[in-house]
Amino acid sequence: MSCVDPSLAARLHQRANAARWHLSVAEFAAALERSAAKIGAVDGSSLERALDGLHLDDLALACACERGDDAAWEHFVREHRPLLYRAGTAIAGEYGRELADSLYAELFGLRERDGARQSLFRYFHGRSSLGTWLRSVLAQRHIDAIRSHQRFDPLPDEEDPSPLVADTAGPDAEARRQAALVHDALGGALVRLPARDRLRLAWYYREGMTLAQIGRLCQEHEATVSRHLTRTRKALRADVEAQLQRAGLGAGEIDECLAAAAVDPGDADLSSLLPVEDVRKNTVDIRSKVEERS
Amino acid sequence: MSSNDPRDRALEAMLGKRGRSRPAAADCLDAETLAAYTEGGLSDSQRAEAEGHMAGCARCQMVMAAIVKSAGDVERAPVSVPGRSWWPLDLRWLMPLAGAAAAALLWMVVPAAGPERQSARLEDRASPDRSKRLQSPATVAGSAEPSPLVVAPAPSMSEVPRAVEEKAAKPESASPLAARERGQLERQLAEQAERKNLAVRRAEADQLAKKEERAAPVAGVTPATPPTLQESIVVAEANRPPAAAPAPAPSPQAFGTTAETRRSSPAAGAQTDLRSLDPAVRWRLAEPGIVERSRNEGATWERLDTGVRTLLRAGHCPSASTCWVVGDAGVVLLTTDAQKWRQVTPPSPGDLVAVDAADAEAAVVRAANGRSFRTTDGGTRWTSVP
Repeated sequence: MSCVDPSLAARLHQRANAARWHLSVAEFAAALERSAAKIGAVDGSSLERALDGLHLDDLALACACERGDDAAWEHFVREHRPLLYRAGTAIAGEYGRELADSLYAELFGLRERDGARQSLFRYFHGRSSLGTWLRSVLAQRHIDAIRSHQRFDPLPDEEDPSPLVADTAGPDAEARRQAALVHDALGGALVRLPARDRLRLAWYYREGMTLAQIGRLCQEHEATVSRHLTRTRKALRADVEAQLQRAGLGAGEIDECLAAAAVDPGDADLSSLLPVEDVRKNTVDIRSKVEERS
Repeated sequence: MSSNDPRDRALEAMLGKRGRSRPAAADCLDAETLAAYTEGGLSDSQRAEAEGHMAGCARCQMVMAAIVKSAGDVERAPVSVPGRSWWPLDLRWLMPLAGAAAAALLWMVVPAAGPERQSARLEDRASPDRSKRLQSPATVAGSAEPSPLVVAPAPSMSEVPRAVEEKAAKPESASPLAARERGQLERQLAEQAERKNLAVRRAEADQLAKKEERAAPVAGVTPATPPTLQESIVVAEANRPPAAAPAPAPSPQAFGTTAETRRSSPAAGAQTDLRSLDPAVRWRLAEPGIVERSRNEGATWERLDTGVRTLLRAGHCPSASTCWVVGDAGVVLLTTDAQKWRQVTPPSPGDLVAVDAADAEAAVVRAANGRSFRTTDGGTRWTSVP
């Protein structure tokens, strides 16, 4: 049963100017239903509001391209393909052209299932503009390629011929132990931060985003982002120091631990330590770990 | 934001550390949610949910950073891609050329700087009535009304383009002649910029062609790497003259080996060189339906009648006797002996604008609508490719 009222579908069809891509009201209504299901809007008023907020013209174009309409493809090639290439280059540099070509092939739909072309356009529901969606898909592909490549990188050769001895004695072992203490303390402090604070830290320190870029994402002024970051960093440091003090370390030892951590911050990135859901439930018991290691 | 405190620096070093990656989680945010987050298109609850995930997901953080960082570059970076006119990319030529053209025009319009003229101009400024007697060449030829450019103080070189733009942007003055002169000026500027742009592109193409010709013998039997289909189309698009303004007809040698496609009907007698993988043999398109081949560096040309009279747009010749040519209305022609041409079953009924061939069996053609098709059996069967 259709959840999109025919009159609403007709109005949105007209607003999207979908007729220029030879898209019937019924076809567009089907696309709207898929979008509604994706958004999770079901009842009348919220559904209408949600559908009204979609990028309807882009949705119509994507539907028509998925259907293989020539006029729609010509429009896409003329208007969006240049953006696709620019985005590819901006995201992946020299490899961007290949990345964009690969995505273009999937948009066109080279694979068939049950005799029908499977175009990537079917994953576009109009919740964002088509251009940003394309950029987002490119970014996902690029990041996945990088991460996949990193996973297959060989681990560094062990230069020390007697690692077992080195692990249990000597200045290196002590430095690693100190760095591990700080690492655990920092992980514990991070899970206690609100999600947005952690995001700001990650984007600023690890991803190298500017305050303005973070501000655009968080819908905050960059001065506000700066204040938040300063506050979060202070809170983080206080938490780490408190954990290390509770573990029985003095001021000098804390300095040594932090210095060791600065030289060897550890292998895993901190966000990977954090579970996506229920991050607050998994607080690291730093005290027990310190006792265990010492 | 960075602190000088050693403890802060240590923490920052740890926060900036990226470790070994883990595979994407099944519940990672989809591309559209990330895009909608970037655009602020999520509801508060959806936004909080997305942030809850991203805060613990290095992959989504990285993707989001890539999206945001690329935003500015996407808006700024110029790129030549199929289907894009080169005109918007070359506005940089317009400014200095517009300035030079406007200065030249002003030099022609403004009277010569002799003592009499100078005194006359001084008097003109004092006496507006007299200025009406001084006429620009345009006014001499046409109306008795003076051009406003005559009495206006000459702007500096850097001010000229802005002045022209401002004049063009202002509402039409009471004088229709002034409007006509402005129109002429703008047309002249546009034509000069266009001619300059085309000349520079030709020079670049010539240099590239000469470089490739020089490089081929040095490299032995291996010729310079031919441009890919994509590059060919980019070049073809870049060389396409704008529809809005007339451009001089391209000369045969102007585009060298890179101008293997043409998008509009060439002027009578104009030939377009085709890309040839055999540096000793040159191929070119002559009038519709005719391909010419030279085996002596272009001293003499064999005329090869393909048997069709459709406009041929592009070709690629992987050997001295094998050549693929495509054109309007889905025409795909193949010769393997440089004598007889076979019309291959077309992959698309639309116009074909480029072809890239490896041999007599394998080729990729590109349609005007951006789609590409590949054959590996000499054109019997075609499959779509990006």
